[in-house]
Amino acid sequence: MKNDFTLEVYSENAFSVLNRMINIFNRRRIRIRSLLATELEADYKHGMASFKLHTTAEQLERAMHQLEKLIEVERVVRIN
Amino acid sequence: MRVKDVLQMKNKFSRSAGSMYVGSEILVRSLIAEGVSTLFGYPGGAIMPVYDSLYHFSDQLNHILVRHEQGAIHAAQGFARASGEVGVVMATSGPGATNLVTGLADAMIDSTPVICITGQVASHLLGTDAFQETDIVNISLPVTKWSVQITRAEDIASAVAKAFYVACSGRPGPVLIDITKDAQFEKTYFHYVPCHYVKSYRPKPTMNQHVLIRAVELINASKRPYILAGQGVLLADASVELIRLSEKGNIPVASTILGLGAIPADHPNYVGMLGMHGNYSPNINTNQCDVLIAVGMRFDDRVTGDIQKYAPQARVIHIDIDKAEINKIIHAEVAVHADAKEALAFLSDTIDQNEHMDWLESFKKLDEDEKKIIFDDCHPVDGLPKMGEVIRCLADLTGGDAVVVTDVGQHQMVTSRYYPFKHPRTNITSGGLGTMGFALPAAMGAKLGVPEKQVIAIIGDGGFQMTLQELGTIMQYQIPVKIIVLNNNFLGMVRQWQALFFEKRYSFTEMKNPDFAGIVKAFSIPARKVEDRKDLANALKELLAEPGPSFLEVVVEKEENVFPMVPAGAGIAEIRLK
Repeated sequence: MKNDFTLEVYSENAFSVLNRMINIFNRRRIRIRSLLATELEADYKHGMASFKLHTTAEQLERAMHQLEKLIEVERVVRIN
Repeated sequence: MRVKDVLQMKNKFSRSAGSMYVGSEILVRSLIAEGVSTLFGYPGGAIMPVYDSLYHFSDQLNHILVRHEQGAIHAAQGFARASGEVGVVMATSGPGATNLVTGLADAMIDSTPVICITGQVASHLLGTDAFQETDIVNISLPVTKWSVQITRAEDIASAVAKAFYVACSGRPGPVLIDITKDAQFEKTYFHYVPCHYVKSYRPKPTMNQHVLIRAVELINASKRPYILAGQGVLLADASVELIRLSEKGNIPVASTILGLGAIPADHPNYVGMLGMHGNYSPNINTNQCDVLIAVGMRFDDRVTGDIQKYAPQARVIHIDIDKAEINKIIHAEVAVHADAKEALAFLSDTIDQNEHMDWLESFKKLDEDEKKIIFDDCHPVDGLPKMGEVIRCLADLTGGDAVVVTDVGQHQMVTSRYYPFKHPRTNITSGGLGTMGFALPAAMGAKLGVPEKQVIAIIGDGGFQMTLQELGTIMQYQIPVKIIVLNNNFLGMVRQWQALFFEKRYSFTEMKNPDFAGIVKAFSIPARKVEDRKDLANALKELLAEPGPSFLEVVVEKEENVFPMVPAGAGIAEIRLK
């Protein structure tokens, strides 16, 4: 059954890393209900993207593993 | 290229004495520092400064000029798969870069360490639709393990170091470095520091012994344990540990197509290949085992068929270095996130000695049912030669010791089943992506990677015509690959599906082919065509005996079907023998 989930993804602030994250959801047809991306530090070296997703718990878990595989991603946190 | 650019390049290069170099030279020096000796590429406007630097290092770097960028990346894949080293590719911007995409996707899905370096328009032109500008970093995102665009010379060396670390470590994969032309011209200090750590990247998991002890308990209590070996065994260099585990527990081992060679085909515990066109007993007995030990494999749909009907009785132990593969398709009761070599070493040290003779015998009984097909395929008496008998004859002549590179289609399945791969890294094929046109360039790359080994490309008539321009590369560098085209004048595998599932409506699969031997001879490569089976053995002997490259076309039976076969969407136990 599909539900809403919120993920926070912490990563290096590299060009294209946000695209890589979005690709992971798009490829699995996971709906992004909202997205907030922000730089975290004054040196712009790190960033965080918060995704509200509409999907199943199983799909979410698989997507989280794929996010963790991205070279730039430091941490994936499931908020709910 | 404009004259102004040429002069600018010359001036930049002439000033590159001492420890300061232009970016293009830093790139070349970085590759040399990583131990690169061979690379494959094709020059163009946006990568010209790098090619100028290569000119000055041609005594240290063997650059192979291919005839198409797709050929370059498949050659790099073949080089990497055969040698265990990283394959390196260079291409220009725009079409040069986009021509790499198929190879990147192939390397990504088959876990092949390849580094592609592409030139890019100057940074002030980015996003302006400049000549030969394409956003290759974004285009390649889904098919690279990592990619980066470099706009400053000072970032080149660290990007190369990180690229090599990322491409080779953990589950290997392709990396792309896109370098703007101004970064190639820019001058800066060079100091190469190899990369051994990236803060956010954990390529090698820490082995959890508690989990492995649970696996040992399952194996020890098992009456019918069964090992499925994938390419992860080869990538982890874990064949010795795999064989030790199999022998200690007397556990049968089946292989995925990319795992072939992880255990010698003549080992008594080897039971054959899994999957849609795999052997009969390994597929049937997947649904009979009580413990399934999957090592370095990802339960591809070509292996599982309908997952609802896949080994429902089995308790699954899944060992993989890629956490995302565990529980992706098949639920693992014991999930071992570990390097295959370490996990197999622990299991083989820890499990009890065992026999399982009845279980092993059950494979042999099922093999009897398949033998008639094998006999008919490999020992036909009339009609045109069959693919199976060509492979059998080749196996007899090479003893299973050659590196065999296959393309995609019927010949690939026949080769995978009938060629007795005895050593790791001797089976090179496009397993996950199924890229027709892979074999010819991959074979020339493989030969350059392992020049001491016999390298044989086996290709269908369709796939050969997709990348045959690389005959020019083979001719220019006299790369002594042996090329066999099995010509049935059809896109054979598609035709087979049309015959079995589309009531023989052969929709656009029949091919009127050119004189292949004539084409090959035009490249000054010895070529021969065989249609009669009495000439086959001698023709193959001649092919293998040639000191340089050589070619043989075998006209094979036109409408031969490859069996056994698990129909698409069916369970593996529904495998058909005819």
